[in-house]
Amino acid sequence: MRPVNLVLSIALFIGCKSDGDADTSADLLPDDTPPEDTGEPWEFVDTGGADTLDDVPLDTLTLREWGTLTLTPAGGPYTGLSGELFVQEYENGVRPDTGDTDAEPVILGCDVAYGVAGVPFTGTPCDGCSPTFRVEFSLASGDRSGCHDPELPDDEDQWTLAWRAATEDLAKDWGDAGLWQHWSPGQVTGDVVTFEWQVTVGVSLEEEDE
Amino acid sequence: MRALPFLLVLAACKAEDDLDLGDPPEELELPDLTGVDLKAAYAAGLTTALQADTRVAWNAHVATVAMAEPGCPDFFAGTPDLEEMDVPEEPAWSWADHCTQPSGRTFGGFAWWQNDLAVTGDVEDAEGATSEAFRRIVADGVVAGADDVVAYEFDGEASDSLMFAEGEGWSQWTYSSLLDGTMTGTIPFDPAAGGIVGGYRAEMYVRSTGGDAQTVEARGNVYWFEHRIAERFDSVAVNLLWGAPDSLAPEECPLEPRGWIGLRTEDAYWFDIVFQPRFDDDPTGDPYQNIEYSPCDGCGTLYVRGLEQTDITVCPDLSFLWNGGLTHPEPNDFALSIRDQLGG
Repeated sequence: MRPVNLVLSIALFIGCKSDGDADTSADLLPDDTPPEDTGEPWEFVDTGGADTLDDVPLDTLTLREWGTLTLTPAGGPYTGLSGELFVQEYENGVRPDTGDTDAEPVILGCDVAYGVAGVPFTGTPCDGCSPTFRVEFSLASGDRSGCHDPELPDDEDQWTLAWRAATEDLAKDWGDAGLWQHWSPGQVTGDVVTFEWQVTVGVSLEEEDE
Repeated sequence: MRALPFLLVLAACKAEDDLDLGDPPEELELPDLTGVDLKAAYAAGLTTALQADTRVAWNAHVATVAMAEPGCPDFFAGTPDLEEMDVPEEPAWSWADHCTQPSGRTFGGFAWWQNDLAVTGDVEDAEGATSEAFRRIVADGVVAGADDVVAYEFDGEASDSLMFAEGEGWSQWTYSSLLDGTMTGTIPFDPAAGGIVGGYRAEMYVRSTGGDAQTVEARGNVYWFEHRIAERFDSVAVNLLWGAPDSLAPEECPLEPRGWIGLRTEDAYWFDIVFQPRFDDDPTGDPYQNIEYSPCDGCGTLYVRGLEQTDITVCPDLSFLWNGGLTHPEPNDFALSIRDQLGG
């Protein structure tokens, strides 16, 4: 910061001190709100009562990420992995596969497919995890930039994924730092891991349409 | 310097028109500093300024995200649908809501964040392992308990990045942070922790390095809502650059930093201690007209409201910076995934 700017900043700093600095008040809601837990993850049901405020997103986005990972050779011990990861996002619950042939075709802003190839991970796996693979994603189709999930792989990204039987999910080594975190629910049938993660969150579509 | 032409014009006018300039200005009466340990005050001021970094905002953010329950708050992919809010439109997660959980905990406003961490190499290899991490939060949100006590409120933006490399018997790191906002709440400022209470408004940039070279650069200011240094200083402003004695070039001063530290009393008197010049065109010349900069003796020149105080010498011991005073977050602190919370 240039000296003059700093002086100005200090002057502003002084000038702005008196009013509201310690005002930590906010539009807090009354604490007698009758709760309504829907019991389902992230369903946008108004959890407030009739006399309280509970904002609900104007638009929603359903993120669906699914695929299969086939371990080879069949029966093990496994030395390789191949598979696919598909990613689609639906705005306000509108899916392209409703079977309604009279409806307008739905053009998805995010419709991406990756090829996945992997080799056994030689580092330290998470507790109770097996098998653990170092995998590489290859973008096969679609434009990843149209997707909202900030954690999607880029083309040629390499991750370490592990199957956790106890929780029946694939865990991802976050940042390759030994931080194993939930990535996707799944199931193992023979030599094939099938996985699917789907959630609905809020999204701002107005900005994108402008 | 800039006032000279003005004064000449003024003098000329006075001679011709004999203007009545009224009573001479009252002499500035300085606050009584009796009993104030200025050395300790400046050391404490620098310490608290350096601690005003993104870690405070992020750690409280992570803690409050962990308090989320289905439907409260609502999570968003990317930017929440808020009007007239300056939220980045980049891939990220965010929450935005005004809602109450069954426990009575409330979420209001929004928080938007990005974070990334990548570790390469192996500590046991000759080249070691390198962690590169980044995180950023933009928020105008408040989380409060059922008792309406604010747990965390942040209005502003904070970002930081870390490069941490380590091998067998060695490590080096670079950490930089920019915090610009107002923050309160019992999570970031736990009254039981014995640190700062009540929160602050800060505009602080800090960059520090450690390992083979210990250096620090800091500039900005912090105003504490309740915290006080020496029971009278409510703000600190800094603009300095320094390095540990073994990290400096021979011509550089190991006894004191380049730049200055300012402390402000509650009645808005700034007490600035000016050390070695920060740059060739150092700001210590403006507004401080000290032609003779502080010699390299570990002491600074004291200015009160810009007026040099020749009868007070302040020689703060800032060597704590090189003895564990500079820290960095752990690489793993940059990891935050909400896939588990989102379910699915």
